[in-house]
Amino acid sequence: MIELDPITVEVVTERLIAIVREMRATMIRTAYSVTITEMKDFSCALFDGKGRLVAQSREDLPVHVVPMPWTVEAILETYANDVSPGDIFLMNDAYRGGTHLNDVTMLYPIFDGQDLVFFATNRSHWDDVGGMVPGSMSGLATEILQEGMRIPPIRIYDRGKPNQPILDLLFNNMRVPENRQGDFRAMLSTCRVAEQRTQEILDRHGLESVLACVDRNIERTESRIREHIRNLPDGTYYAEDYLEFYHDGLFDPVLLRLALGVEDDTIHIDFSGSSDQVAGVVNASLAVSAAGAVIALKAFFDPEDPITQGIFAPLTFTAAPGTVVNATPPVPCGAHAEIRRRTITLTAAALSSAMPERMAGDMQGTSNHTLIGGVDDRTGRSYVFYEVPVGGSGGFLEHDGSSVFGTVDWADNQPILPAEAIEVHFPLEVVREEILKDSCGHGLHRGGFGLQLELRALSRQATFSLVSDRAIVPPFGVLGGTSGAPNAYGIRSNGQVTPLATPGKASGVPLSQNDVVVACTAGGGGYGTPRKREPDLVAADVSDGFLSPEIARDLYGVAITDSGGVDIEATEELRAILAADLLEVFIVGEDESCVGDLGRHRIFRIHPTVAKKINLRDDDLIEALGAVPVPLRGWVRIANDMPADSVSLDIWGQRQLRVAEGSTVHLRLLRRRTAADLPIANGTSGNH
Amino acid sequence: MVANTFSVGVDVGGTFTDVVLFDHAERRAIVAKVPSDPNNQSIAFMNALTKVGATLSDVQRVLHGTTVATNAILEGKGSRVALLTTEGFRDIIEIGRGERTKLYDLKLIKLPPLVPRPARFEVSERTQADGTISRTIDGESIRGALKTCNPRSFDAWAVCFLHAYANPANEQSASVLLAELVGDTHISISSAVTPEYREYERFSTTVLNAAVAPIMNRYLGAIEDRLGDSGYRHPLLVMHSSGGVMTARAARQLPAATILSGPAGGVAGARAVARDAGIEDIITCDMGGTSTDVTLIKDGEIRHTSEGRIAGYPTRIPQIDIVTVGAGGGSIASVTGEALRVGPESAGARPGPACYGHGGVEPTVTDANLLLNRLNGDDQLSGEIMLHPDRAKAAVDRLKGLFPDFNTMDLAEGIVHLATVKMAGTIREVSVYRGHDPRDFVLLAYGGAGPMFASELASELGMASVLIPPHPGNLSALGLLVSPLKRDFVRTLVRQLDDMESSELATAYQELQADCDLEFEADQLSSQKLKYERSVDVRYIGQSSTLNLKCATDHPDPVALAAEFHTAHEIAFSHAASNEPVELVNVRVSAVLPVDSLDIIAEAPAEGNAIPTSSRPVTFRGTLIDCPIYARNALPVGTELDGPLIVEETGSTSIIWPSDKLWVDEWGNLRVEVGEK
Repeated sequence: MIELDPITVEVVTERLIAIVREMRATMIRTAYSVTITEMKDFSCALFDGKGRLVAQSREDLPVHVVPMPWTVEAILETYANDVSPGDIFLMNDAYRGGTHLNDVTMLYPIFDGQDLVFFATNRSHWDDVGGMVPGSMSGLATEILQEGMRIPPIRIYDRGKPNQPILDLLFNNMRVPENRQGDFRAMLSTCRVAEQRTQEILDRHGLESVLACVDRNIERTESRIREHIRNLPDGTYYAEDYLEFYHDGLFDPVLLRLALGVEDDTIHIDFSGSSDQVAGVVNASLAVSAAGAVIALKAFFDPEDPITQGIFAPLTFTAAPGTVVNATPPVPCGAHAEIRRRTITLTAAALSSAMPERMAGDMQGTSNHTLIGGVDDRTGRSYVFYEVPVGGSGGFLEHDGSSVFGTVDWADNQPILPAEAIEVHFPLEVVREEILKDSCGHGLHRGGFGLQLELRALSRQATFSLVSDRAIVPPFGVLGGTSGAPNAYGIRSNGQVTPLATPGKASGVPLSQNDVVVACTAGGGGYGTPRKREPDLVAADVSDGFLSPEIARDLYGVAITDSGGVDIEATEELRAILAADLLEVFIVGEDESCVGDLGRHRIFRIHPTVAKKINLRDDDLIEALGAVPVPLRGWVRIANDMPADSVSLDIWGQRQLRVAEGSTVHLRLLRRRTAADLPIANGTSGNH
Repeated sequence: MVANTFSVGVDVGGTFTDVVLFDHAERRAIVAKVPSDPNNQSIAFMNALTKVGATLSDVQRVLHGTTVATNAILEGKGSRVALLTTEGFRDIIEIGRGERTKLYDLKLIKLPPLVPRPARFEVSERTQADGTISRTIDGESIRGALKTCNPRSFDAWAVCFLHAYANPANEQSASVLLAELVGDTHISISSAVTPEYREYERFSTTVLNAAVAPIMNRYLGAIEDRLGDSGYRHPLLVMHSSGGVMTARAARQLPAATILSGPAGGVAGARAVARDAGIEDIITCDMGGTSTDVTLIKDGEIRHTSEGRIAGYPTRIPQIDIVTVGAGGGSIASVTGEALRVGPESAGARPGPACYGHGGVEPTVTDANLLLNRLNGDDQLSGEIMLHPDRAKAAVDRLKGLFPDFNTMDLAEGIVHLATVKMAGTIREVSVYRGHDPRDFVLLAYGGAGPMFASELASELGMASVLIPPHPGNLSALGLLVSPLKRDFVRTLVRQLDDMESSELATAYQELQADCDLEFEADQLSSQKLKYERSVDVRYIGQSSTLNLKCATDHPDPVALAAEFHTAHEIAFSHAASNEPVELVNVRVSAVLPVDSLDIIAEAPAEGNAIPTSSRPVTFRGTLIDCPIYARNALPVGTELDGPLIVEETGSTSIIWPSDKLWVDEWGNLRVEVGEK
């Protein structure tokens, strides 16, 4: 046993982190594609010989790094005890520890003599990996074959010798292969840098000492997270949420469920009850689903500390193969970003009843992949405009959420493009780019506001496509805070705005010259009860023009005077009325409240008297507020056989809200069903 | 140079104001330091001149490095700015680009907007990307836009219109019309502050400029008055971020260009010192109390960038490519979980390290250095701050609870070592990012704390040698003296190179040069001796960052530029895509009025023997070694000594490690051959 002093542990740890930072710099210097050099859509990390995450930098994307241990595990499973100096492995299999097929991972073993000591890893977004569309990402894909080459763990270099036929096979099936080869070589360079620097550290400190430091550092992360978990009350915490899915002219939301079990210093996350996978892009590997959970745990417990394998040690996961959170062939996995955001949200929601002080209102829950393509009349060349406009973040204990701000799983990539750059490069005019009034979730601390972005098509031929979500089921508020406005896109033609037939999803919608795409991104969820918000802050939002006086009055109970100040007396009266204004209903238990066709969604059966009191109709989207910070969402069905003043709630619902049959919940309307809405799938196949 | 003329450089920092008086005839420099007055920099400025005995009627150039603009922004004490902008875009200044600065933090909040919404006014006007004006502006529309406010109730105005870089006409008319309403209130217009595209970055720069303009105007006015009263008859020259000086008149118009005024002086000084010593490739390391500025100089060329940031807000004004690392002598050591951490929190100048005795209780890197005896406990920092080793020990001992097996000295050495390792990681990263291996460079260390860390830092980076210039604490002031008058002009002109008329490029250069000449005329300086440095920012279509290519003529051939770009890309990034179209983004001209090299005569004695003044025991890697101490000004040129040893001078201590070798070159620089640690 080697004597370790804490200074050496720190010094070795810092030196290992410095290796990853140098890998990053090397990648940016040598990669070909703009996605890597400008958008920095790649990440590097160091693993030890046992496949444990040892070091990442402070810039590597959580969305890449956190799923990486699953990737490494998949490769080691395949090649256990068969790794030689000079071997290099490659994979992107979305079903086995990958994310989406565009993210290609290289694993590079590093030896000390004959001992396998480290792996350098690099996960990079390749601009194209084949498939049905340039760029390989299509919201229309129905099977993974349309999303490009699926690379199982392969030995791409065998004892220093490239497996050229395999490389040729890959590159021959990708668009712009010379760029892919360039990025591949850049990935190799980063790993070689890591190998050289690792060797220097081994020479300096000795193998035994370095490995002891690695162990110690991982143990330390582990003991920190275990300590955080131990502080949670034992028990199981529940959360469910939706991804929006349409098929055959139906809205058929997909259900995600998470039960988070805390036992002493361990957490078990169980995704049982989530929908079966569907022939659309809303599926992901367990690596992605679990990564979302880890990102949320990290945000709750310990956002500052660098990640090592130690964080994974106390965590276990269950997810049935063939469900949206643990996809199996042949379904596509393109919307991995949406699944990840939802599992972040689910984990946070579940934990929030134990740690409400760490919780924030929900985020926009999607990347809002916005595409406008066509032919530029000025040049005759075709173009593809791509943007991922962000929305508001949620309010939290100490502060309001921020407007138009990257989500928690992102880093320093810049999601908002300059209007001037858009107009210089594309036949588009940015008509307006503004903070969207009234779009925040309201609360003691309100959410951030969304963005209103208007893009006018200047050329004669263009089409518009969108992969989005949270367009019907909005980001939730917590502890009584209200939902943020959903993501909402529409097309304005001759002054008339037409919303999308399938909110959040569009594929190749034709745009006439001068049509305007109006993109409104979601607001963040509110934190705490709006009527407890400091009236001066409400008045400030009104005078800034971010909030209507009507909302100030109706939701915050704040009366604004003609001069923009707070009418204190009128405000007190308004607030007294608001306090009594939530509809309380009794819970009637039932076995199962969820229905659907391919997806599943919750039905709240209510007695007509309940419907009358707050003016609800069939298929309205509502939420129930129980004894936990996060509300439960479902759709209304007015049922005469329900007792007066009651709502139906199955066991899951009761567990999630921590309420029992006979006690009460509060109900409120989220989204009124409109004539333009697609019918919602009301099949009774509740046993998926 | 005429006999008996003098130049004087004054660099005002947070704690000290440094001054160098240079006698051109004798080629000697007189150096001094006085305490800064954070409330009124002009007092320390004049005190400094008095301290070096400057007779201002004999002084030809007064050069000034200032942190007035920088501090106003960092401390959020800028003036109240109102923004006039294009209809539909008033929130750009708040929306920004949406990026996060921290991972995993649900509670991260965005920077507050530089202008609150009620102070943002929209006017119906529009310029297209190609510079065509599709909606003109008139007095009616301006008055309409401002009908809800009293335009005189703000300290300054920023006029920021979409695509104003492509055609400033609407901004210029708006500025004229606005001036009628607001009288002599300062107005910054984006096309004049930084005519580069990308509206958020340009608007942010313009608003920052407006926010500090009234403050800078008052400050420079006060100094000019005092200088005039003392007999100075020439323009006051102010150091700007891109490594040249400009007149106070110009600095009033473009105060945002002084954000890196102080650090730029240091880099200019470092380059001059290295060039004299025949060294072309250096990494400069200016370590102060709270942060360390790092710059990479290759082939004697200082790198420039226009992508800056202050207090988190972007600036787009040409500046030296300086990377600031949030670690310095004041970095605090702490324990989180079971791990020892150094930084990023800093004790700053106040309360400062525990050993300053100003109420700091957390252990800092400076406290650790004091305990290790690398910093002299009997000395005073620049004669102003008394050090308290007992408080340093008490602070470091706070960590002992978690590391009971460790003695104070081990902890102190661990703190310094860890701080060095972290800084080395950053320096290596920024070097590799810029395409260089730090091992090919000499480390040039200055600033109060730089010379103390230099040897250990160089070792960590695998660098073989270190240079410590004379008066390392005053290098910024010295750098002012070698800085030429320089103005930078840019215009965004996005064109595909193989698709553009070469006459368009030539016209752009003619117009930019005319702008240069106008500026020098406004300063009543002759433009006859001006040297124009022309360059273009170019990239592959689809890339967002550019490479800067120098242009030898004012009528470069676009096709030849494209070919040159492929080669430059190959060199910079190890690959090129010769079939891909190349895009011009910005056209740049820098006008420089060169200054003569100073050719300073070394203060170090020309001959004699190096004799230590005393010795003290210093801890190196756990071993206590008695080190001879030498006074810097008594080390003769040509001295060669083996480490360990200490060189002391006012404001700085150089630590030469046991296996290092030291020699003093003919300019009085300490040169260290770095040994194994």
